Formats: sequence, C-alpha cells, structure tokens
Amino acid sequence: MEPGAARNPMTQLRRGVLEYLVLSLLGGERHYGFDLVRQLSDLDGMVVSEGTIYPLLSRLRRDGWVSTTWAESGSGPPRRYYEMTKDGQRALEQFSADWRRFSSAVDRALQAGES
Amino acid sequence: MSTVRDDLFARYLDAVARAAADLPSERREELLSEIREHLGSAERAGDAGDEAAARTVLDRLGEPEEIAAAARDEAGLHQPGDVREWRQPGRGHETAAVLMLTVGSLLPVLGWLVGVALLWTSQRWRTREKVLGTLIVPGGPGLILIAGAMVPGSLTSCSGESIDLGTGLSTTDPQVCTTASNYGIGVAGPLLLAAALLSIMTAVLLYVLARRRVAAAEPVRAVAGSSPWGRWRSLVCCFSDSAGC
Repeated sequence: MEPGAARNPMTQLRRGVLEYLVLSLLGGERHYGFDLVRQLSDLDGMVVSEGTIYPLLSRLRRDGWVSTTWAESGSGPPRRYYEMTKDGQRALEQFSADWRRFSSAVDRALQAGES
Repeated sequence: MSTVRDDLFARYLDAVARAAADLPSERREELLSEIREHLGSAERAGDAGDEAAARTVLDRLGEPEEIAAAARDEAGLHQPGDVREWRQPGRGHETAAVLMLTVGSLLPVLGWLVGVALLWTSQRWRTREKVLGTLIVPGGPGLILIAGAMVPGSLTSCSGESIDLGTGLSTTDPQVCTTASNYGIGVAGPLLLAAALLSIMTAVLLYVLARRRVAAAEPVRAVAGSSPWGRWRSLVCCFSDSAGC
C-alpha cells in the first residue's frame, strides 16, 4: 500500500473495481492485451500505470475468470488474446448488482447530507 | 532512430526484470513477455515512431518498480521493506513461553514453571493446547535429562566395565550389570528419550500454531516465496525483539 493511500478511499475503490472493469471491457469478445490496456487507461482517472494491468490479467487468468489464446501474427511473434470465461461472466454480473446497490446507497446518503 | 528506441525499450525491460528479481521465475518470465508484447504492439500501432513517442509509451507503462510491486501483490508476496510481519504485538510472549518450556526447563522446575505461566497467560493458544503443553511433559525435557542422570544404571552398558551413575562407582560386577540392564538401556533410556522428544515436539507444535495465528490475525500476505534471508531476519528479530524489527 502506498503511504498516504490509507485515508484515500478512491485509491482503494479503484483497486477494488479495476478487475471488474477489465471483465466488462472484455465483454463477449477476444482482445489483444495492448488494446485492452489502452482502453482502460483511456477511462478517466482509472489507471495510473498501464504496466500494472498485466499482473492483474495474470491473476484473473489464474482465478479462471479470463482465458488466453495465442494467435499467429503475420508480421512478428504470436500475440496473446484475452477473453472472459463463464466464471468471469458470473463474477461480473454479481459485481454489477452489488455495485448498483452500493453506489445508489452512497448517492442517497450524500444527497441526504446535502439537503 | 529505431536503435535509440530499441535501446530504450531494452533498458526498460532490463529494469523490469531487475525489479521483479524476487518473483518466481515463471511469473517473472510471463510478465516480461507481456511487456515485450506490449512494446511490440505499440511499435506496430505507430505509437513509438520517434524517441519522444517511445518515452511516452514507457511513461504510460509506468515505473518498473511499480509493475513489479503489482506483480508481487497479485502473487501474494511480501513487498521489500514490508516489516508488518514481525512487528506483531505479543509474539515475543509465545516465543518466550516455548523457550522456557524447553531450554528453560534445564533450570530444574523453576524454569519450566515460568514457561507454564507464560503458556497459560497467552492469548494465542486454545485451552486444550495449553493442557497438552503442560502435560507433555511436566518438568520439560530438562527435567527428563536430569531424571535420566539419576536413574541408577540407566546409562550403563553391559559389556565389561560400567559406571553406576547413581553412586558414581565404577563396577564390573556382572550382577549389578544384569540388574542395571533391567532399568537401563533396555527400558528407562529409550522411554526417557522418547518423553524428551515428545516434549520438544509439543513445544515446537505450539510455536508453529502461535506463529500461524499471529500471521492470520493481520491482513499481511502469506510468506510464499520470500527470500531465505528475509525469513532468517524475521526469526532473529523475533528472538531479539530489537528496534530494527
């Protein structure tokens, strides 16, 4: 944990949701790692260091939420494709439901505070 | 131009490899191949046309140390300089208890009793474990050693001259030897040895249990793959309780 991160909830939140964003971006298709990483880093404020996505992808692979295949590339070495598995799909759906409940509860509480 | 970029990329990969040196080699290789592929894709996408663009690609990837830290995180390894594991409150208590129950029992009765007191005042053992630690063996291995020295003839052999430890007299009396062999190597010796071993094993078991509970109590990652040096340091710190720990 980086020093100072302890009191910043956004850092923790980002770390918590990042894997589900990865799953969501994968959707039902196959993606190259590079494209996936770029899409993620284009999301506002989500990713500070693109390189850290790769260990996350490795872990998702080990957890069985993501699978990879190799595709022959005409000009150069074979490249890795990533896609979501059924387990990953289920996890994403569960997170989606949890997140909707959580975020609406936070919104309500913040609104109540404002009035 | 392309050699400058290749040079930059090669040095970056080296830096990542160095930062990830303590990862298991399979994971490190996997990470490096992914970064290599990323750099190749960036080149193919035309993002690394000149030196400035190449540097941007590397900036976006991030610091090698950050990437290695993320890899360690996902693998459940300790970060270097993470001292949370051995700054556990009260772990010295359990260590002291185990030490007194074993080594301390050489100080007859008193040493062992101190160990028992520490055993029973610990928060980290269940009652039945404490009972086991007390009953196996009362007095500790130290008392067993002393008892072994006291049992007459328990260390005699029966081939020729022998020393009766109870009286300190040397004897070649076959009768004494025969009698002694009833108490001696035949019975008391191995029994006492077994008891001493059991006692030590129980103490070790208690220590391991305490350590596992200490580690589980805080959200510190498991010590899988940490360097032998790191583990030795944590053991030394544990026993010395010094400020550096």
